[in-house]
Amino acid sequence: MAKAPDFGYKIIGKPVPLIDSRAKVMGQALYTDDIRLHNPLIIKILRSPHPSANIISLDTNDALNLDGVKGVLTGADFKNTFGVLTISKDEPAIARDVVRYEGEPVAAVAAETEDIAIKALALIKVEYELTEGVYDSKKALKPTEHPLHPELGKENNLHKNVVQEFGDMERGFADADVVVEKRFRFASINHAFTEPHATQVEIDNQGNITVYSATQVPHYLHMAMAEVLEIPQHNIRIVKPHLGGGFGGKSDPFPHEMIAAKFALDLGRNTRLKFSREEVFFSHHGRHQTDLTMKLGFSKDKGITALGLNTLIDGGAYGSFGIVTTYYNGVLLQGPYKVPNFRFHVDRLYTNKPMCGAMRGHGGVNPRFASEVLLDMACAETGLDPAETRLSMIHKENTLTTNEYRVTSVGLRSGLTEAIKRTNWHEKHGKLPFGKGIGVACGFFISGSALPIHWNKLPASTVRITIDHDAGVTVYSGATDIGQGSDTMLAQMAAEVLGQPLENIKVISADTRTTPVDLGSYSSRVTFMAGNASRNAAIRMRRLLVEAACELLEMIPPNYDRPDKPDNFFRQGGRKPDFEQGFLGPNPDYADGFIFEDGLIRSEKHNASVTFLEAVEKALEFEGILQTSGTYRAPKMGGKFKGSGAGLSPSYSFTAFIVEVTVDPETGFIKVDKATCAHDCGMPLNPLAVNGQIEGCIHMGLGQALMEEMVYDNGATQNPSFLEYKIPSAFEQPEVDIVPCYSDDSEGPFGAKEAGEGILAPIIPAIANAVYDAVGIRLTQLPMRPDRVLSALEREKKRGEKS
Amino acid sequence: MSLFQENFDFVRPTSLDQLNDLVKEYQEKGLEFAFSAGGTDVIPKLKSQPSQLDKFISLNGLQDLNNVKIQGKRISIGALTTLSDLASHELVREHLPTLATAAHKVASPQIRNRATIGGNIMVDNRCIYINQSSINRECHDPCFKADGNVCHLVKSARRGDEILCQARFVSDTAPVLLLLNAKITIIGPNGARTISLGDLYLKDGIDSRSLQVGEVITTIEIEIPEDTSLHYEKLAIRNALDFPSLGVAVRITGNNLSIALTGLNTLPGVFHANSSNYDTFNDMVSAISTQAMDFAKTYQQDFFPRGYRKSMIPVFIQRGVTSILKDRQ
Repeated sequence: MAKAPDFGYKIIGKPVPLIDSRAKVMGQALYTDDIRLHNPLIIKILRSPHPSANIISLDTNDALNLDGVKGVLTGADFKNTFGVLTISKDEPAIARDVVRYEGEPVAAVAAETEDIAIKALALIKVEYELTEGVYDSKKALKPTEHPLHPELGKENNLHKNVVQEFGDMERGFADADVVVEKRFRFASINHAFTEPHATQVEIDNQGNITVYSATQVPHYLHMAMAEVLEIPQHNIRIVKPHLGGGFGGKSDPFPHEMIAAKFALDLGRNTRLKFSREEVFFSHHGRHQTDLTMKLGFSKDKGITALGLNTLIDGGAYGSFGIVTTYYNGVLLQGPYKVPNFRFHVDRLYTNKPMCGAMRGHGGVNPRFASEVLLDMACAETGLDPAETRLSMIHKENTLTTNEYRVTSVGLRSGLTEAIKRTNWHEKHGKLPFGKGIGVACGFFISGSALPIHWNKLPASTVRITIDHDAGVTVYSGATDIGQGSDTMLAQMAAEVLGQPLENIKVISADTRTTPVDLGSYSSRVTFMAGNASRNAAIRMRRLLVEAACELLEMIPPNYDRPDKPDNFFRQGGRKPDFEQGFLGPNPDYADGFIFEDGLIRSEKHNASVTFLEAVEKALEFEGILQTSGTYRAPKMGGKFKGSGAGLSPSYSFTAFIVEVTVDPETGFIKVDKATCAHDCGMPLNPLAVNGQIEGCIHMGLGQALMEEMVYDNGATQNPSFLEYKIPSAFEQPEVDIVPCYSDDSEGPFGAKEAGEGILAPIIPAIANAVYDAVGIRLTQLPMRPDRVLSALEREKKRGEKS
Repeated sequence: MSLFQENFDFVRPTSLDQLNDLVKEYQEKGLEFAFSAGGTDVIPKLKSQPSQLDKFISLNGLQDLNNVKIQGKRISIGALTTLSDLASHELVREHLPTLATAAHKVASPQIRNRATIGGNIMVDNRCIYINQSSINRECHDPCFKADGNVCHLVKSARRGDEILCQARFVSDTAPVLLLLNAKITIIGPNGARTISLGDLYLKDGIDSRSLQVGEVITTIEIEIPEDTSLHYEKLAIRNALDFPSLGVAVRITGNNLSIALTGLNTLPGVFHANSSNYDTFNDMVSAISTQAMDFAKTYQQDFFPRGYRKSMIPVFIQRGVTSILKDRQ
């Protein structure tokens, strides 16, 4: 169980159930498709059965003439393409002339009933000319006269190439006692969230639309939709109802959202659309299929001396988050250990497959597997203990990495030390009987991307807090609760600062009409950024109430006009402070000589108090409404080289896993018996939520490690169902031991950092390293299926016989 | 896109007589009908595969077929007994524990609460090309099992071949029932008949059961074995949800060995070996393993590669044998 240190907080650090958990368990929470709009048209999408084809003709007349069909859309109805990144807006809402993946929308129908819509789809006549597709990233690198995206003017299907080099690689390898190199391959995997994509659109009599959608990023959807539909943003309101999981898979604007909104605008009717599970798999946006070769130089005394990698990632048909993924495949290797000499070369390719994008641990998961396996090999070759070696190499606090990330808080050393102790690592590693093994791996992740996707100078997150005349507190935030509990976190911030019980705080979130902008739930940014904004808004509210209390008590209000905590190099990344006037810096102290508790605001010095309600009433006298805002913006950081902004974060999380496995040498089955996790998320704001994230990451990591795989046959998805796409069942989940692990991050809200993504990556190499300890094989391909284990065992046996 | 056909009548007879009358009526009128017990195999198929049903006959109203009885040395299992009930039934656990184990290995708790033993021995053969998404069907020519003219696994297959379709047999309980020499009682428009379970299964993946149109299984009867031990081992990547990539039931009677296989061919395979024909027990195990591997037609239609599935056959047989011999000690 994650545990928070006791700083005397009343709500922060306490295990509280998520505020929407009861509604979800009772079936009362409304997800997008549960909303009942008045008389909506049902929308169905016709999808291409071919991964690579030209559309020769498209005849929608019969469909349009079917009784009950109100409209048909084709690619010709949308002028602008879109994409989550401003630098790769390459996706049409509906394919125009060309289809680039099996399942791509080629037309859409709006009809009075689902039956009619399905019948109408069958009446649309599409004539395809099949073209030669490219299904493999190596082949996609070869020159071709017909690239998927000729508009880029490239001679092959390369979407993005990133090369960064730091230090002196040659010298780095020369300094090494041992150099290990291997090729690793990773299947593409899907997020497999519970709730399929769904969108409903409500239109009013002035042509304004309210879009209810299962999305992680209302703000980016808002902008993309205005551009695609060519209407002002203020005519569009995006609302995210309860959401059944995202994991990155709902963090792009999607074609179906454009289609549903376009129909509503064109036909003046409410619309309703939801995906089948098949359609979720066809849309995909999951983790890139990856082929990477990595080389690690390691010295017994100096640790890692050089790390180089060459990577191909298979992006599928469109850009999505791919450019970010390309960078993250390299830059996230800058932790948790010092890498003095570092080079990566990553190519993202377009292929005729469903596009890949962001998925939990974005871009960092596959290279982490490679680096942690290679580090294990280096330890084995030099005779060092892999756990103690890692322990000794973890970044120290306040470090500048080779690529100029400022690493501030680091709490992993005590966590890993405790994990080593609890698992009896030294009694087990290398000493267990054949078939039983123990392995270790560590990870590192951003706590929110410091830079926005669309460049602007606005705060990364803004939160508004109001207090009604009845003393009810409402927190308004654009942050998107996707099941991870961000609404609860926002409420905890306000409750702690204002001394209110959690149930007195109402949260209204992810509604572009009523809530201030937050950039969305991606890159593990919400706790750090929206959390700080909520805390700051609450502190401002507290000041208003203290002033009112002072007036009632005839006291002089406290003087807030004092400098924020002293700046230091690491807070500001070596640059001048950028605190604008009135901007509350991260984590300002809010001690003001008053205690907020038990419905009272009490002066610490004088034996005098007013009730919270009295202070609210007094404060309301000034303006009539009681409202404050709080913001968060990341400090200026980062190097001065091209691409220095990738992976830049105000803080970083650290994770270690020790995993125990049983390998059956006859069948090749790997059973994960126990996973011991230490995750430094700064201050665990809600240990119950942190536990949930750790257990969920273990489950998801187990899936990628052992069984999950998108199977394609020349671009055709072979397993678009939960029967054939194998997610681990509850039986496969191991015993979990969560080791207390924390740090006090100087900039995180109440010292907190991320706990949603970084945990995922190291569980996978920890399993592989435990398999090595159990049966002496190095697995380099995911998923580590039993047949691959057996093949590796046979190879190892033959090698042993030869030598 | 859902192809779920919703415009058929749902009927739920409450007695076998009523069932027979309905069947006769539909046959006379030339109506298309389908039976469903738990529905866990039939309904997903309705959702993903085109159909032109007029009547959907639920068998769940036939209360008499939902029980397990013992009469002397004979256990009789109603075909509508759910797999959950079967796996936890005292009589079954006491006298036929391996059957309880096999029933417990089917799918998930939720599915076992609905799925019946009759449904599990009738579960349709599967193939990645037939149990596939609507869009992939459009992409590929329809296969024989989808009333088309090709087999995507055996490209050379032609109409008129003895085995047209290689969709594989996937029942978990059948191998154990076969080694228990189970008999099934069938009723239909032409009356009742009792056959060996083995006679239910046919070679072709399309029409893989010997039931006539309108016939349903009512009971499964098993003589409680004496001096025998059984074991069932299932290959699946998960401990829940999956159909068997391979299932091996092993029975040792005296010194003789029998095995039954699922997941490897269009029908279950049953092999017997008499110890008097072999010098050693191990020779007998190897010989039967070779027979089993020859029987396996492991086309690439599963999570596991074909070679791996085949290589697991002797491993699973040996595990069954070892486990039984250990229990006997």
